[in-house]
Amino acid sequence: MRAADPRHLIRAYRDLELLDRDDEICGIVDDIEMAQREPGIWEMTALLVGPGTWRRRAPRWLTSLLPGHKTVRVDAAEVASTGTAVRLLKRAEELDLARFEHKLLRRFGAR
Amino acid sequence: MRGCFALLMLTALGACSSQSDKQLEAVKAARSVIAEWALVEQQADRGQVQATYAGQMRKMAKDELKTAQAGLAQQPDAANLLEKLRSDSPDAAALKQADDALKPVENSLEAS
Amino acid sequence: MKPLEIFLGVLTAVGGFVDVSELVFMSQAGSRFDYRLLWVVVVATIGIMVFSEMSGRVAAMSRQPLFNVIRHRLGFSLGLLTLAGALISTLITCAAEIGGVALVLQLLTGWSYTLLAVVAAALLILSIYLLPFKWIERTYGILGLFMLVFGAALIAIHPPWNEIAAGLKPQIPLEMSQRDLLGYGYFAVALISAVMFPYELYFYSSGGVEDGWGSADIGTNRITSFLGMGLGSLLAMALLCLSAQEFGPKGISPEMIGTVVLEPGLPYGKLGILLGLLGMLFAIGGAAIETCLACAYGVCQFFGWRWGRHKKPSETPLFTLAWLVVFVLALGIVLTGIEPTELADYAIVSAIVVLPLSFLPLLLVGRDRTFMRDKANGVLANTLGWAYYALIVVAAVAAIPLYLLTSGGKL
Repeated sequence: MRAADPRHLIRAYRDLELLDRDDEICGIVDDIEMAQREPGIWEMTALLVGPGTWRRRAPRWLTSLLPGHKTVRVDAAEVASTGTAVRLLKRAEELDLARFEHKLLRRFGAR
Repeated sequence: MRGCFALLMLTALGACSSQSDKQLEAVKAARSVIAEWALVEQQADRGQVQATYAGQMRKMAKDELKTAQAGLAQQPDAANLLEKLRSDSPDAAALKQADDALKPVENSLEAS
Repeated sequence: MKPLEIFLGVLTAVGGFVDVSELVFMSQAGSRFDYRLLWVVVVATIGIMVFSEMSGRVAAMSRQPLFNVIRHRLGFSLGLLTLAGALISTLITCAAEIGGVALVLQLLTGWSYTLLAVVAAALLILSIYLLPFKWIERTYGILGLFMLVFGAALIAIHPPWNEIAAGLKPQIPLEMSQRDLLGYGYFAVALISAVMFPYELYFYSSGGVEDGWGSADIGTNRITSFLGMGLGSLLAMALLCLSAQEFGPKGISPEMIGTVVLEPGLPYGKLGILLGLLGMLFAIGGAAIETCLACAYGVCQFFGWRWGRHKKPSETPLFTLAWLVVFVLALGIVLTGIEPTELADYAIVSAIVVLPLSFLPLLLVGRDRTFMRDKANGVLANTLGWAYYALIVVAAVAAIPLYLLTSGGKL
């Protein structure tokens, strides 16, 4: 997705639910990477997911109470569509999303 | 700065509850509990409540009166009255009398 | 629209409307101020209808429950603060409900309160674990219809209907003393909070997504919200009126939850008490489950973890862990010995403070055509929504000062 105003890109992706190819929830878009490919046109280049991004968005005293430091980068090419949620082209495990949750799912014998 | 001011205001409001307010709270609670207990006894006398229900309500009332009694340390007559109720098995009439006895205490605390 | 689904949905909303806070505050409001706070209950009911319908509509059109909406509209920091506030207030409410269930069981059985609190928590956990989602709500909601005995009791005691009607007119009784006026203000805020508890919307909107609501279910949502909440509110008003008629003249401002059941007990004797206790048991039990799941929904939706009772517990491990932890924490609070009525006090005040941040994103998304397409808020929904939002903000600002000045309505 491209936009003249980077705020439109942020609004279109940030803090939306992530759904993988099987329609399973696999996170929330915590932040996005953008680049100015042409003058005046911004493009979303990647989604950033994980507690590693929270420090940029909230005061330290708040984020220090939350566990985890990892950030997963999901390239823009993996995004199928966006609307009220962001849909991905691959399964969560292929994109290294929701790792802890998948560990638990394997442990409890579910997918 | 604004946050500190708000906190100070709330602390001041919190401190507004004086000793006499705490005693008033305790005596109001005590009177209500006594009235509730009296109603249970009245209904029990008429055979209108289950024995288990009445028994549990009596125990709960005595527990509530113990809490109220702690708040009435500065009103020894009232505190003694509650102690007597808790150690006895008063009927509806005795409870009504106790409620009447506490009314002037409540009135004087409200006026102060 | 499937008529049976709608019918069961309405019954569930009616039976599930009353929780321990409403039992306590409606009764105390009635005994202390007669019928003069009835109009506040009506105003608050219209408010919860408006927001409930909006949250159901948002869930149906965007497939996003309320906490996803909160995160998207408020952003990470403010969303996280809202989540923290919501978790604290809903956890306290859950503890109050578990304590309430234990108290009711104690009145029925005579067993130890501590033992019954543990038994209550265990039974509620089993209910969530074993019952399919739809039947968790329905079982407690429909069995909560035993509460209708309170409605029947009101009719049976032939109350002064003209005074009840007068109580429906908005009023501020300026002839009262300053102390009583502050108390009136506190109870007005408390009743608004009790009727418009935010956990109800967290649960309702998540339930809409769990049930797979789409645009075809907008009608079901409207009927459940308006009819269900409206009829449920009549039960709550019956509690207030019964208390005004039966307790006020006797100087009773119920300090013990068990006293409330004398409202149907006075006209109907032992049968009234039994039905009243059963109604309270299931209504409060249902509320305990709703508050617990609301906490788990909030956490999972905010952090993007899999959630939902429509899936097996093993398929949503973090969601399952979340609601188990909530029950354990709530039980822990109960076992400290704090009374359910006291917990209800804290729940009421903490809930109203969180309301503005919980409802604002809903209002913003409700009017957003990107999310809502042709089902965005119309003029009426927008007008009522913003008017109620202003009311909620005023109530939220006034709540803590009024609580402190009136010692939680006890002065």
